[in-house]
Amino acid sequence: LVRFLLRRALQSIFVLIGVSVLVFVLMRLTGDPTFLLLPPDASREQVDDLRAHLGLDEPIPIQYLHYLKNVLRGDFGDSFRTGQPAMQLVLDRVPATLALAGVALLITLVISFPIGIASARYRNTWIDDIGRVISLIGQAVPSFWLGIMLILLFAVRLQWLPPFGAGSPKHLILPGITLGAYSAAILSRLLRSSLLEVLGSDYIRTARAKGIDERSVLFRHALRNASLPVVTMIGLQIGVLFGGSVITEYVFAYPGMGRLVLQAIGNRDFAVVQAFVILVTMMILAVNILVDLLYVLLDPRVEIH
Amino acid sequence: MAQFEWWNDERLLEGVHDRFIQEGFGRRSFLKYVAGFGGAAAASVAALKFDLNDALAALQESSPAAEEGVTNSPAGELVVAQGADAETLDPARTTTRSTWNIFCSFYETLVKVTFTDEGVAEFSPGLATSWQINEGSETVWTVTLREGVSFHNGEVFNAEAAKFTIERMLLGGDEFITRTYVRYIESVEIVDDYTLSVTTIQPYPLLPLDMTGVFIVAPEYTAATDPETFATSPVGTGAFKFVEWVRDDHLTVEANLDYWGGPPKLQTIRFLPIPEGSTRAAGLATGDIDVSTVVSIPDVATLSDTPGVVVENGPSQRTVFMQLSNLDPEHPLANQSVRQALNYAVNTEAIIESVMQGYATILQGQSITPQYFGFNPDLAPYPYDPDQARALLAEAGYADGFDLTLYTPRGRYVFDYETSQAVGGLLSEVGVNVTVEPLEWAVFIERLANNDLAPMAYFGWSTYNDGARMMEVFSCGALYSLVCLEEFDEVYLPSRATLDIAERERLIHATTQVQHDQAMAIFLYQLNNIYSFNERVTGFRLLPNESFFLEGVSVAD
Repeated sequence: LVRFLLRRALQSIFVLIGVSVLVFVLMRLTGDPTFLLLPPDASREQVDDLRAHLGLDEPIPIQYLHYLKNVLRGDFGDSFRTGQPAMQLVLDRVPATLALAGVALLITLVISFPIGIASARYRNTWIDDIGRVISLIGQAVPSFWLGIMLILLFAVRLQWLPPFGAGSPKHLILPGITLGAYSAAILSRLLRSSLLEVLGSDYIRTARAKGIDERSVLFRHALRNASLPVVTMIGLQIGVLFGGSVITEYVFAYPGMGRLVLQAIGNRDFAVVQAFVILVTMMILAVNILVDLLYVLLDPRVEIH
Repeated sequence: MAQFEWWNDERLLEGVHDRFIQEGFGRRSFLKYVAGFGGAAAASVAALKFDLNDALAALQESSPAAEEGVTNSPAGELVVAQGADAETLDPARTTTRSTWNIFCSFYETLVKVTFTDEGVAEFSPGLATSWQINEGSETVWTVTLREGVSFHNGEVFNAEAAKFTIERMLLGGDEFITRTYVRYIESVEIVDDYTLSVTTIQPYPLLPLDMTGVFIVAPEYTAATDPETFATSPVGTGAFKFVEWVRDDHLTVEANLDYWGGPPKLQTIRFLPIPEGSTRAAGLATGDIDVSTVVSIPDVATLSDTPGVVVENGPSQRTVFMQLSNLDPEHPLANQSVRQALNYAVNTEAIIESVMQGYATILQGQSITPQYFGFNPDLAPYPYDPDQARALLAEAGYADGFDLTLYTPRGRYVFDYETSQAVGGLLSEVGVNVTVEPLEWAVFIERLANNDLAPMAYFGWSTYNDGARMMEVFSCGALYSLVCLEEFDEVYLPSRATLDIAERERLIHATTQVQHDQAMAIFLYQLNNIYSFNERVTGFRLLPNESFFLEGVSVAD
């Protein structure tokens, strides 16, 4: 197990370096922040001064080496826009986005499990049809539109929930639904097909033949085996939730890191985008390792080498 | 929102609006006003101008309550939603309008830009009470400062503080991007506690304009505070004191009871950054916000039908034109008749009606509007005349037309891409085949600076309210210019180095004339600012430069 973790950690480092190079170069190839920072009546001379000050006048490989050197000392650079340390800006937003992603994940599970299980249990009945239509809608609706519709219904018309912002659990409900809708749809469909496959297998027939009641066949025998691909998918959806938080946070004016990075990309605030990408990559790598470990718990046949 | 380029927070500040500005009133009062600066007319500047805020303050003072000795104490909370949050609270490190609007609650500038009811720009005293060029000098100005002003931390505002602020911007380092606004200053000397002597590097009539970008900071506090703390806890002299800031969530200020102009009417203001227009509209409908500084055209109808919500619009000083590059002598656009032909081929009124849904005003054959000093009332738009366009093209040897690329931002300004497409369509009707190429803003502006957007590019331009500033983008070698005409620079360059007001106006008129006759751009329209507020709000007005002042604003319970 220790060897497994070590190997994965080593792999992760290479992934991190690769990702950081990619972001570093791509950002620099697609726009120069100096023109975005300075007012339209700035002089060319001031543009050059500022570019030199920001260290953007050197060749990109040299810039990257400087960056790498600083990162190894824990310095991820300062935001061009705010002057504050970039990693600090991103880390300040982590709790808010984690809270939002957590609520979204909860909503995902709360929605997808009942729908997925009911659809599989009552396959090809009206219950299954409704379940499938709901997941289809969930997958097809853009979260941008869904968010605005939810605001109009629950905040403007019914006045049950606040339309935007953060600060109380109430503020998390609408963005949580918006963010979780897509994942819930994916998961319920996956759970349905995975359960159906398992329910058709020999050992379930055996279990039923032994006279075990349908409830425990479904929940104790089938669900546990059907949940393997689902766990993988939940792991993947965590990445999707982080990505989706960008749009959701924008619509709901929610102060999370998705919104921060959206502004940073528009402003070509390189240090902030880089810090964000590195942090999120680390989180996703950690989740993947965790998912692999979970396999062992769920399926005794899986061993770690 | 028509586009999904939501990261462009600044687009949310770009305005849209109505046509009452057309009449071009009040330009004269601006002239009188500018005359004051030249020192030629040393007559009391203050007496000639009308300042909304002073007037409100005067009203407040003369109200019966004040006469009876009852203090009109600040009351209520105003919630203002803008498209973007402040970037930093260090006033030397940002020039974005949404941030400056927040600054105006707790910081003050030496000179303020205000506007008459008709939307004409004026200068009003801020922390400076007067500013004049010295008799017989071309470069030395005397600036008199306001007495009896103190910073929120108790420091006294005086010549020392003003000098400190200007020198910080000028010499502080390249990260102080507001150096743009002090770059014509050579030195600042303290004459006495409340008088500065400012020397410019050349005769420079725009010094008062530049001083509207100098937000005064408290010298002792600034020197003693590390930059990071300074950028998050500002100390100014304004009508409101900073309370707290949670980035991208809210920024709160409260009434400064010791304000030199008397306490403001509001007890607290909360600034909320809400990037999405539909969400701001929802917030107005629920009452969660009182003022939204940007309303997108598709939201106007909904908001107008919402009870208790007022939607207003007014002229923006941002103008839209397609610059026609003459830099490549081989290109058809190097030919004046061809450029004129393109102007005849575009039906701007139709674009305003269909694309802008009426929220724009046609330009008068020049890139500046009546809001700007130097607007030329004798010019008129090129009429829509496709036959004339075809004739001119044939005359120039392009009877079969030619191919042209139009570069345009998309989602940066209201309906920018849609406008470009409409222009492209109209040009193709006279045989010019236009390819409209949309670019993301960061790419667009970088390529523009590298002269890489010739032959034709969309400009949504706005700057200080002076023709000499706004025309820079048409001069040879300017950072964002795609054109170069000697004839233009011959009048443009003196227009920003002449102190005599009448002569300067004549020069700017001449630049507009060249701009028009040479058809250096396809002149389209001036945008409108659309904004909205709850009816319990009194006194809110979004000015043509997308700014607002909140000292005179009040809310009913």
